[in-house]
Amino acid sequence: MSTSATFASMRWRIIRHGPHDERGFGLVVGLVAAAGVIVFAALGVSGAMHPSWLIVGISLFGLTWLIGPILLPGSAPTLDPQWFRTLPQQPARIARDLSASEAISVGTVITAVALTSFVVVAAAHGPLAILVATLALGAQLLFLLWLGRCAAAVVAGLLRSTAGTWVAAVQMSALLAISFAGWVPIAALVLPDLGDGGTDVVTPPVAGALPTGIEDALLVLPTGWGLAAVQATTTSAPLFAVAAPLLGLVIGAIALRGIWIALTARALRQPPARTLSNITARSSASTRPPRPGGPTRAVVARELKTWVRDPHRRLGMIHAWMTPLLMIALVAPTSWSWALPFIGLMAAALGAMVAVSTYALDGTALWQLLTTPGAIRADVRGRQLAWLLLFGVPTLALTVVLCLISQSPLSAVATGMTLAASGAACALAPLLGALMPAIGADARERVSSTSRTGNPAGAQYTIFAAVAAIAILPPLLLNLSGADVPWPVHAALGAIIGTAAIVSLTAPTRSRLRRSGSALLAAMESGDISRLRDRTNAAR
Amino acid sequence: MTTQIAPAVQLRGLTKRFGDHVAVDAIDLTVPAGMFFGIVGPNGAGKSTTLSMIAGLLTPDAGSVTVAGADAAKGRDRVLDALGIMMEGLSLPERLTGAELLEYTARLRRIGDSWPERAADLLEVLELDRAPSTLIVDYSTGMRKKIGLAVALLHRPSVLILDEPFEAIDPVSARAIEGLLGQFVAGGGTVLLSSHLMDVVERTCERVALIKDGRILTEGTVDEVRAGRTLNDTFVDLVGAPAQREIRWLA
Repeated sequence: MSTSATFASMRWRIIRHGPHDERGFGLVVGLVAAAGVIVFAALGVSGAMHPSWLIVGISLFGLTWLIGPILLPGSAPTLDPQWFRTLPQQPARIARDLSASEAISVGTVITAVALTSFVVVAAAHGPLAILVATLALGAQLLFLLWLGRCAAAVVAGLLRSTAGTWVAAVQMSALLAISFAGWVPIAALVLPDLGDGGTDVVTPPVAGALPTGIEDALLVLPTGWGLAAVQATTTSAPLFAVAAPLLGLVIGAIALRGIWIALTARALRQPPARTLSNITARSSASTRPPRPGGPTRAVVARELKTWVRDPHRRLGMIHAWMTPLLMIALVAPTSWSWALPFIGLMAAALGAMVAVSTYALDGTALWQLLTTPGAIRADVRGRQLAWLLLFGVPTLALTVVLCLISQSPLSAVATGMTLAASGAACALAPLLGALMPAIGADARERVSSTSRTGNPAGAQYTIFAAVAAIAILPPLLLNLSGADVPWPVHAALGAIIGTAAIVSLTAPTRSRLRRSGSALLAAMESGDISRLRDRTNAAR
Repeated sequence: MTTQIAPAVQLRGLTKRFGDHVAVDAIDLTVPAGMFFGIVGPNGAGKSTTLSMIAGLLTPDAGSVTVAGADAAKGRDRVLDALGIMMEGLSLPERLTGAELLEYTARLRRIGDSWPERAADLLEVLELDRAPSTLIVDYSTGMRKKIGLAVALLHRPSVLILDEPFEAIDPVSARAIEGLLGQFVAGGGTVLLSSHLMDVVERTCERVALIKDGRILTEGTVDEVRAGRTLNDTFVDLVGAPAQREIRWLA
């Protein structure tokens, strides 16, 4: 068996042996999204929907390959090249042999399904069109696969240095800002007078169609070349219009594969991972007089230090602080500047998302809390207070500043929503951290941002949805009451709802840790999330 | 008239199953107070599982754990107050320095005003004060064992539960840990440790229990168990060593 085949076989066996929770979740969600793209294609062919929307679905899939590795830099590769660094072969040869196995992934399956939409578009145009669609599917899939792998390799390389960490953090924050607020400039073009109560919509020239400029731009990007080739075939365009995008994809895929091999070989030539965190504490507790305070203050002090010193927590904190500032840059120049105070609301949600996996990041250090009387009580309250200090207070300060700058008529609504969201985020982060831990390498093994972590996406989506749902309560309740209230009522109601969230969710969090703490510890020790469900198997 | 002193640790019918596998099979064990007690056994024998149940990190399927006269099922906090725990392979708050970790532990346990002196003593005796700015995550294996022991000792428990305290550390660190444990036992404390290292157990422990397949094969003073031989020979005889087969290609 060749080395390439051995690597491919090993990768397949690792995927087959699980754990399957994360991959299974990703597969189901991804296949639902892929089915949506196929439905877009079918509706476009039948005339029920304008066909231009298909390129949006295809482009979103392409974007996922690019931003996935950037947003989840600690995700572990299924087959880590570092495992094979001691093989008696040149690093470039090892990387080349590994490259064949990279196609074996859940993402490849999902994307292949989504790209069968090409065949749906081509089906009515005869065998030649179907052949071109099939070639386009393969070429587009190869291109996206190597685009994603290169993005992951570049991010991993950047995170090896402090300066690179900042570059990666800015990149990630920019992508997050675009994800959350990138639609605002477009919406401002479509509904320019919404801030003044105007609801006149600036419509595109063709009813139900994507604006032509956007469609053309998406087809010009490499993520749209496969569909461009298929559309050229179905409209009997010249051979060049069909062949050029296909050739471009193949050449691009080959080039990206070459880059990935070079980057992987470079990583294999460097020393393994950094063995030290390169972080030194400024002062030591023994050199200064002891500070007053009980268990809760001890936990707050531990949390504040950990947020600054833990590489993954620090990266998350930078995102949570930087992304709202970049969102301001996106929203402020538009006619929707009245929406600026709502960025505080997004800041609270982002703070919740980056704090949702702290129990998993702290790993098996949980044992100390489980074996110290009263420690769980102090830990939950201490994590909440630390969140308020690091994210809650800055979020509220930002909201007040944005209200003053924008003079938005919706400032009161935004303030109420932000207060409710901050309370919800503060209470939900520890609760979901205990309920949905993203288990990765244990805390003692994580020395840098490139160290493996679990995938917190599920918990992040959940907390985002929950925070948004609670944030909407103040304006919803006031609207239902029908009363025209002065602005402080919005803030007061938001503060009451936020406080109620903290008061009501603290006890369930403690209770969860007391009841399932041993199982959570066993799951983190073994790296097997299924042990969290099966409490009888909480084993050492 | 004599006063009956409660055993430091008493296990009665302690059992733990993982699916069909019985990890600990109805163990009865009494560790007298003020004793240096060793549990030895091959990998997977049930040593760590037993210690985890005593530490409250695992719930037994059957049986009871009593520490210093308190039933763990009924008086969990009292038991945890009496115990100092160091488990193998678990993290600590990794982004703190050794001194910060002891301060955090002291405040978490509400130790009071005496903790700075205790922390300074432990850091000095264990030679951890030489790296005041180093985070736990950057500690060597020996330093990690030593700070783990300091955390376990800081509140001056009556019973120390130590899982593999001498595993994979250098002789100097081992000597420092042995010295500290000796002082602890001399002061009336009880040490219950698990280990693979027979010479350490032979040198430090007064009594020893040999566990295999979740059951105690033998228990007694070290002299009784080794019966005139080395503890290592007794261990291999009781556990059973695989037959040696010659591998020609290695010759």
